[in-house]
Amino acid sequence: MKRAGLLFITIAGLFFGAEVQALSCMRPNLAEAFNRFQASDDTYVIALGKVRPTDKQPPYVEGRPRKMAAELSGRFMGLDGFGAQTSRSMTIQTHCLAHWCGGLPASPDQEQLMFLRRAADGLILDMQACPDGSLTLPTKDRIELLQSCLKQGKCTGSDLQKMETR
Amino acid sequence: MAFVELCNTSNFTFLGGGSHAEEYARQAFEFAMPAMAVTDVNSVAGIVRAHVELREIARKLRETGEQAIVPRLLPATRLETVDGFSMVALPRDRTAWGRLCQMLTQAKQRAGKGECLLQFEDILEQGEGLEFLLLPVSTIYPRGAQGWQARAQQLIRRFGTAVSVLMAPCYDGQDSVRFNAVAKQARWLGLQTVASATPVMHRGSRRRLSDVLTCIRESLRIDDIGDKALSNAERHMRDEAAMLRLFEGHEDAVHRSGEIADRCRFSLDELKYEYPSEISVGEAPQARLERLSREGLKWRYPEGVPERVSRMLTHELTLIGKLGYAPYFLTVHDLVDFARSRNILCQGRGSAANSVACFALGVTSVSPEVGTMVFERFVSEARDEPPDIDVDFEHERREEVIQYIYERYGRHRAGLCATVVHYRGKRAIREVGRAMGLSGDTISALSSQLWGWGGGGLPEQQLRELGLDPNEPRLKQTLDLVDQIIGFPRHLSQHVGGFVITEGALDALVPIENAAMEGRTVICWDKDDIDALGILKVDVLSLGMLTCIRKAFDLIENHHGTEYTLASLPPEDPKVYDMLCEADSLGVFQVESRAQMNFLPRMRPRTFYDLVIEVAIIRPGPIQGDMVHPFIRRRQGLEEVSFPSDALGEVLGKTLGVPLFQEQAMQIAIIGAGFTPEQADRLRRSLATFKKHGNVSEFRDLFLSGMAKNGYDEDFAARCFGQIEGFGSYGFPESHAASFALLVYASAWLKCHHPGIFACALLNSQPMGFYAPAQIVRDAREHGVIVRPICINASYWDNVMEPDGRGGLALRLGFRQIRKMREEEATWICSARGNGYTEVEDVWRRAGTPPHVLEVLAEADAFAALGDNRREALWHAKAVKGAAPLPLFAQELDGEGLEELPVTLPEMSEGENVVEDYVSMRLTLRAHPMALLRPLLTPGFDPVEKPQK
Repeated sequence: MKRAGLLFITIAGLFFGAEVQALSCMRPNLAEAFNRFQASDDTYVIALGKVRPTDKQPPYVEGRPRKMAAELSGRFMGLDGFGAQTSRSMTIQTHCLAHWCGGLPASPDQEQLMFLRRAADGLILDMQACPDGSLTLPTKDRIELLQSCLKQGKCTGSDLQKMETR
Repeated sequence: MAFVELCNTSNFTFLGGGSHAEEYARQAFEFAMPAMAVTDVNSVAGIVRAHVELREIARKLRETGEQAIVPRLLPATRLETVDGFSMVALPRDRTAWGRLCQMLTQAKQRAGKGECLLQFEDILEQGEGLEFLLLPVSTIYPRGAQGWQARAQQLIRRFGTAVSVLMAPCYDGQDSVRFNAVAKQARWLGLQTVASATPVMHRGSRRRLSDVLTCIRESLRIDDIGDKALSNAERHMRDEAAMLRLFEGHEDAVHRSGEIADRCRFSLDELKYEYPSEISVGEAPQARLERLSREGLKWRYPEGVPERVSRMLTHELTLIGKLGYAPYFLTVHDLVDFARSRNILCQGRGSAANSVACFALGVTSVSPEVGTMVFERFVSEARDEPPDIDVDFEHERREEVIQYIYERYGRHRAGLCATVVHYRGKRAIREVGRAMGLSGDTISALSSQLWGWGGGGLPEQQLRELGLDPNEPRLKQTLDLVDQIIGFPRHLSQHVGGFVITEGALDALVPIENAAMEGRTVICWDKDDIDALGILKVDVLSLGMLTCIRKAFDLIENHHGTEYTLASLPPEDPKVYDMLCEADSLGVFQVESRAQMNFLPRMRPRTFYDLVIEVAIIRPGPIQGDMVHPFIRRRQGLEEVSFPSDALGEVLGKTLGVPLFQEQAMQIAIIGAGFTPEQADRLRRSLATFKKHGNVSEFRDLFLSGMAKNGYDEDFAARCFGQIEGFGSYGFPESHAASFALLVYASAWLKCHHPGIFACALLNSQPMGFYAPAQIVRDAREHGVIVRPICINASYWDNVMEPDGRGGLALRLGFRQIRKMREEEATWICSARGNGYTEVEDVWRRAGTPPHVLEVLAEADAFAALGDNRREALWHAKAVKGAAPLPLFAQELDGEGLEELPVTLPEMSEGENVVEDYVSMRLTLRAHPMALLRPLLTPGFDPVEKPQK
């Protein structure tokens, strides 16, 4: 999968003055996120599983993402559905915007559905200050939708509508 | 030829027929008819019942040596197309039956649940091999005579002599004219006529009930029924003599019914079930089962398979091979294997589940050494019926297994059994009462007395207590009709998990229809019908405790790095038994009820087999049979362990001479009362369905006299039978109790060693079990678990375990505990949380949480970590306007925003907070409500002198 596009975020205040007062996010549309990752120059894989950080989060240095080692235990989506259960190490990369940073949506005990970026040093989960669709909790609908998008190579207009969350 | 009634409408034409299929069957036997057909509208749901009834009549005749004609059931249906064209269809052979089933399947799958959209073209396409009896135009068909004739001619062109016209009376004084007209019409079409009384009831006495059914169907009161009522009580079944009288001048039509019956040779006994073949993956099924079982034993016993277990397996495999059941075991193994590959916890139970074969295949985790019963009792050579294995899966994930079955075998080969929903007390009173015009108050009053409702209605005294006059004719009639309608089928529903999987097309065996639930298809026969026809069924059931145990195992693996399975838990841990002996069993599977908690300290379980007994003993069977007290006295050494005889001593040895398990009760019937295994099995079956049919008493006399003949005490015999009766619906076989006991041990072990994780898993599996979250949380805290409140910055949807800062774990309550909270909203809150929210509005802005959800969160005191107490958070939540934030204008421009003055809200008292906690979450981590009242209840406290702060 390729990656393209930017996040659905706006920072109110940046436009109106120096002082940043509020970060507003829009709920990402999973189908739209799929198309974006698909069109990206990076390669992505879809995984369903639990993520357990194995490292402590390093201190925040402005303008630089924070990297944290983690263990993924779950399954990867292929054209014929999910493969066998597997465990492997990965990296969580937290991005910040001003003083707002990304975070995992699920506890280490819960499964999540994620788009993992395949990099030279392994799989990376990018977490933006605003959720960008790279991870979400796995409902049956979402999984089925992603599966059909993967088969077709893209999510269609109706998929986009189905994943409208409000 | 002798007359055969070919068009009986049973009560499986829901709210249409006024008699059971079995009643028609008995009536046909009384009339000495050589054959009979039950023909419900676009349905064959009731025919197995008539078939079984006739089979039972034949068996009784064989037993008594009497000679009589037993009618043959002609499987049939009454087809009704969407445009109202109607005919009886009788398959001549097995192939035609298959086509008929496929035709009905197609028509039913076009429609929603319970509906059938049959097109005339479907009949032309798939009607080969069927005998058609057209209902004449005068009785039905909205398109009039011409339309009817055109349809009839189409059928004749396609099927020729297989088409006849049904000549049916209307009992209105015009029948003679009508018969002549039908005969003329038939002659014109070149068809023959066939006589039928077209009964809608087996006897005329059901007329009133029939009218009430019409009222229920049409939502009418009986006073407004008008011409929809039967004009008289004549539409019942008739014998040949009566038919010949009625059809005077058309006697040949009466005899022709016999000729048609003679041409239809298909019997339901021909429905041979074939196991699906893909489960053997190219190997011979028996060879595959043997290989997998041997491999499985090596997996179960990595240190070497004990000689005894290996011998037991060889013995079982020989028996399985002899009876040809290998494909059944392989089918169950296939499902369990799938579940395991998906990490879905499952556990087999049922009569054949606790065999070495099932242990080796991973179907059950109960070691075969535990059971005392021999395999033959579960897979009986004499009974020649498929073994019974039910598999429980985690309740939240069973659907995955069901969809796997559909995917693997195809929807045309797999379907769920139906459950026939019958009229029972409340529904019967409500619907009949309404049709009879009783007031809502009267109906409610009658419903409230349901427990006093036996056969023959409510006692007069009870009616008087309700302020009703028992002699009031309308009320008397209503109560009589309620009694009659109880047991009538109302509609078909899906069975909880009984799957029928076939080798060939299932829809050529039985019609398949859509269930109400999306993605589910059901067949029209229920589990008893399937059983009677010898068709394999695999029960795919769901169990909440398996979900809880799976979640607990996952939590242990995540937080402690230890991987457990049901089979690998440390066995016979004395600490676990110590805990159970103290009745500390809240949340523990099966033994958490008040009755079990009361029994545990008396039973004092110390071994796994004690748990097996514990599970089996607190059941209606042993309680009703008064077996509990003798057992406990013997266990405590207060009473000598003795056996009624040496033979029974062998059966009852392990349970101290007291029968506790279903198998023991059946063994007593065989050994003690001299039942044949076949009789004992029939007793078991009749008990299982006695609520519906109530035919247990014939066995009672046989049992008591048999016991007396063999020299057993009358009192003991009566108690044994009492227990057998109790077992009917509620008894546990030993194998079943052993499977459940393993879950008791597993859940008790989790509670004993990981109380926090157990409580967390239990809360995340709700709703299940006996106790509400408040009790589970309180119990966990009493066991030293740190429970932390719901927090906007720390909670997830599920309850989770988090580090407690002292090297241990604390239980963090999740958003799922909040009433009115939706998972979707919780998901977005967690997804957008990042490094934490700083104020109420922040949640709205970043997670897009709508204001009303913010209020729900505020009411649950979820913003406490942000420094906002319940009232302040609610104040801020109320200030948020608009469903979604407008990001670009999030910051108010200088001078345009109104500066809101800070307010000081009154603080809530502890009592108010406790009340609000319960309103919002049904639990509190604050004081126990009674703690607030303690001062008031303390002797000497004067509320006037010392008002409560």
